[in-house]
Amino acid sequence: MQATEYLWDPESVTEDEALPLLRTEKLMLNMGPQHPATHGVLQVILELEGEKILKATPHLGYLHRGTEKIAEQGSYQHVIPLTDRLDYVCAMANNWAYVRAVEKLMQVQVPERAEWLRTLVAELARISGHLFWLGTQALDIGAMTVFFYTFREREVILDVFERLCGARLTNSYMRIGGVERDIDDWCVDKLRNFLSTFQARIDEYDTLLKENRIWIRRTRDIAVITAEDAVEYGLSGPTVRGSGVFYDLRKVEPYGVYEQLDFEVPLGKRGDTYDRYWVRVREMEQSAHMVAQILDHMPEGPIMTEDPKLKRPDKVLVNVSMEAMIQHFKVVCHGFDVPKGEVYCGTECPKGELGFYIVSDGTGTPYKLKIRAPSYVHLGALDHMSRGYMIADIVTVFGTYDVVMGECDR
Amino acid sequence: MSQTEQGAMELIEKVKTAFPDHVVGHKVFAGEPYIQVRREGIRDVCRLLKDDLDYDYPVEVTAVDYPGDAERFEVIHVLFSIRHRRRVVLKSRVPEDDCAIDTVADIWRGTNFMERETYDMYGITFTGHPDLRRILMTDDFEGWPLRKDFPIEGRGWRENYDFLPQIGD
Repeated sequence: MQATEYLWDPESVTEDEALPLLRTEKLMLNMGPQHPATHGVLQVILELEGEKILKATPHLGYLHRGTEKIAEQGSYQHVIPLTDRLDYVCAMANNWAYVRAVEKLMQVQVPERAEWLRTLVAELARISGHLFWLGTQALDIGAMTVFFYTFREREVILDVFERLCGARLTNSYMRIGGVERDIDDWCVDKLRNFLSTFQARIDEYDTLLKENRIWIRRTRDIAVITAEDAVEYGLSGPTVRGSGVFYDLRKVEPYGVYEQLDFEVPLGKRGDTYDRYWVRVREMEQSAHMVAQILDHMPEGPIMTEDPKLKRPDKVLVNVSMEAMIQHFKVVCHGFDVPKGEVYCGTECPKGELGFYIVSDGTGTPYKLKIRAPSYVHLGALDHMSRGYMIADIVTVFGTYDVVMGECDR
Repeated sequence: MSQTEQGAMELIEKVKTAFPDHVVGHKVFAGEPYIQVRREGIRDVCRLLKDDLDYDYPVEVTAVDYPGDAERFEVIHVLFSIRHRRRVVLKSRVPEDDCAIDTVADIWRGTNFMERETYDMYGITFTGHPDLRRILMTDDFEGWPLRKDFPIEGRGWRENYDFLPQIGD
């Protein structure tokens, strides 16, 4: 008798008989809120079959600070520092998104140089945000070197921000009606130096990742989302452009000085993680290109509107002039009244469309302020985008949104 | 009248002719249309906007609380059309005693989370929503934080702990 006859032959067993033998069971796995790869405090309940993800349920709110409720208590200016704490990686862009919404409601004209400065810092924030994303995403997937390189470049931008407004992360640089301080030669020199080497730096990241076999296999065809689904889920920023949807508010509804700048919007084709990586890296190149143009063409002029309700008087005048002192008090303590009405204003931030829906009842305090945070909307698609992938890919999936929990939970 | 305002008025007219009973009022601000819709008609209007007028991108769902008004809450839907590059804001009033409105989460799947947040913050029920749970607050949280009558300071918590400085000390 041959030994093989004693062995179990899967062909001979019918499906009904096999079921009790091959018992399958769904496994619930908790991930976070304390997990190094969740970029903050995000909890995901994974439903697994073996290593395959059947369902991913995000549990949000661990970083909920009630920003929208706090915003209903103070004046309109009080909200600016709160917006820094939304997406703390690129606070400049959040500042702009908020002040734009208030200016749209108040119909304020911002001086030209202020618009150039805002565009400049927003593009620098985009570079810094994308550098941060590239480093951490690569770190999550296992490529550690990129992290050190991208943070080296990010440091330069943070130094410029520090010089410009005194803070590296929580900038609070913008004011309703303009910006706080003008750029000086030190910053311009530093930025020009930065730009002269930045393309070489991007090439350096490309040598590490672009054709890296591990990187490609960890990102190619992972977290695929079609253009139709991406739009229906309300994804924005590089996440929706990775699927090939032309949705960039800088082009769709031009604001700032984007109409006067020459830049392209990179679009992906497949809608997978690799395409979103590609889109972000190309966006950094475009942003650097824009920064160079801004430094060359920025006009001279005032950086704050002349409207006495919005502009703080010159500090020297405050010390000698009674009227300037009163004006200073009025602007700082009382703020200003915003005409009754409501407005939605969306801005293209590094993460996606950051929108503010503001309702004013005619007083100096926002009656209602709703923040449309891109990270929050992106996590709504987490379940859809992670189904069917391996458990090791879940880190890639929420890394690919560039999610920052401060913005998501508000 | 500028071109954007004209486009906004055209859109309002289209919605009005399709559902004259559902549209209560409208306005145009900064070139964007704001349409006041009766809450019974929100699904019909959303279907029209999605299927016929290409409003394929859900931007935001939220609510505003007006405690003095007869119909206390106003649910806001902000939608965007990527093809026409236009935005529209729908507003529908919801009374406090019957605090519910139909969901649109099956029309745009992205609104699922937005409606959950609105429920979490205002206690407005979205009828037919697949998974209406609290999202930012904990499951056992009591009250609706963004309602105007929700206090900004915590109640009854500090008093439970002797070692904490008490308010008023």
